[in-house]
Amino acid sequence: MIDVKNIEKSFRDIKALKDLSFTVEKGITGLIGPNGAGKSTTIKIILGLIHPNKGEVKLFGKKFSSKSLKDIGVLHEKCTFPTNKKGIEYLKYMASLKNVSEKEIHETAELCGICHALERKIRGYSAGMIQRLGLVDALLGYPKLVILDEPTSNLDPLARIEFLKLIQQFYQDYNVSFLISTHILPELEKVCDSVIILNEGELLECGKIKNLIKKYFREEYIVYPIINIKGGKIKERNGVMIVEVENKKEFLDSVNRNYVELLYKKDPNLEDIFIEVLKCSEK
Amino acid sequence: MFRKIMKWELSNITRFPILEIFVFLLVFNVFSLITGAGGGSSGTLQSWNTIATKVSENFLRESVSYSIQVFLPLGLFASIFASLSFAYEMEKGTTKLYLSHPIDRTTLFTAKVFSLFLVLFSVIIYSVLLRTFFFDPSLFNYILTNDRILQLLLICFLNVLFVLSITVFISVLTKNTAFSFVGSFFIIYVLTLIRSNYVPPRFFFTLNDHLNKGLYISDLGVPLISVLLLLFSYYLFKRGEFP
Repeated sequence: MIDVKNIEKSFRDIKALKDLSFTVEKGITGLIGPNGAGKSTTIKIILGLIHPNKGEVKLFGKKFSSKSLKDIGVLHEKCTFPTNKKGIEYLKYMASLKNVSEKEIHETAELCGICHALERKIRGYSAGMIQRLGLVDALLGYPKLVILDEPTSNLDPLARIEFLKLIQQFYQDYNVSFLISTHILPELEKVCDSVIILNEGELLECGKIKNLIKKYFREEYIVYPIINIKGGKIKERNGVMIVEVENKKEFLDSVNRNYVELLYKKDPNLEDIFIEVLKCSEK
Repeated sequence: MFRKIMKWELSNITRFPILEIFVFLLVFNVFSLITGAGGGSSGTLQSWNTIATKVSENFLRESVSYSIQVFLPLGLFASIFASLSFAYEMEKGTTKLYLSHPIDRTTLFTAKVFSLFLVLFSVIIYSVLLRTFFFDPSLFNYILTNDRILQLLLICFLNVLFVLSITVFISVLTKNTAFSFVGSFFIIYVLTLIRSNYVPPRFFFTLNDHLNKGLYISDLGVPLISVLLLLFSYYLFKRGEFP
């Protein structure tokens, strides 16, 4: 869907992106990285809002043009909607540009839970309502791809859960793919199947979460007591002693022989992957 | 697409106090006719009015002179409109929002400039017609049917084009509402203080005379600068970044 090739971008003497290349396939993809990693800059380059110094972006196999944005919906982290307008007026305008019917506006607004406020002026909206309005705008016409930049930053915990459910629903029911940039990894983990990890403008990793787990992690168990354990390395992670299994048979034998209780198998989460990838890149 | 964007931009501009502006121009007209001093305490306006009275052979010339007199108020409105339409939206990220939709930059820029032009041109025409009405209502019909109405329209057109090109250029360049408003209005105000026949607003008096007697190559200067400024603004908007 998106093909980013050798993108470089500098802001004066600061290199924001360094030879960045990746592809975004169908599905829900997370764009993660610490502050200043270049996530928002990457999104803006994809959308043609910022021009790269080098490299090119292809949307659906074609060079960027405003027409290709017909198939893309966007929710920016920071932007101001025309506050003098009513929600419905703004959506009708955007729908007219995408040739979307009024019926569809109401359907999408209903799904996003903002239908009741559409007749109000945007200036009277709360931060959460503005976020929902932005989501309706992004989802209008069920585009092929929706790019969300920090979509849950203004939402309360309950609304965040709803928001994530909505993303899954749109992917499953309407075949809408998502590229989500966020800091909140546990949330992202619930919905996305692939990730792109950036740090200091460089691509650290890109691929399916399953594959990254295989690449960076061995099976891990929490056991008690940790004595005479073989076939694995004992490590401390987040204050918990874990055994990283190197030879499963040997490990299970030692567990049985020493009456060690196998408490549970610890599956690495997205946060673990992120930390591990960062650590590896530092090395 | 252009029509849809233009309609939206026009509805955005008309959120500004257009009615109040028209009332202001009404008061400006009445005041300028009563005092015969060009509509205010400004020495510059007063001297323009003197020039206007001297050069006015008939009410049409009077109207042309008046359309030049409103240069400063027009500059004020243009600074407000252009700052809010360009600089404010660029500063707050609304332009970024629009450009994330299937709207290309050329269409957006053109729609914004056209709608600004339309509003400002309506303001100046309204003001000139209002002036004629107060001057002598019986001339109202005459002014609309006279051949020289085109000359009056041309002066108004170039006046608006010039003011618009400055304000749009400053707005796109600064991308900051406050700088854009203060900067554009400051430039327009400074221009009114320059006593040169080749610098607006005095240039329009010269042009008006030349239109009657015969044009010079120097008459192309201001329209050319206006067009160049608009083209440069377009280049900045087209090539600019919206982080």
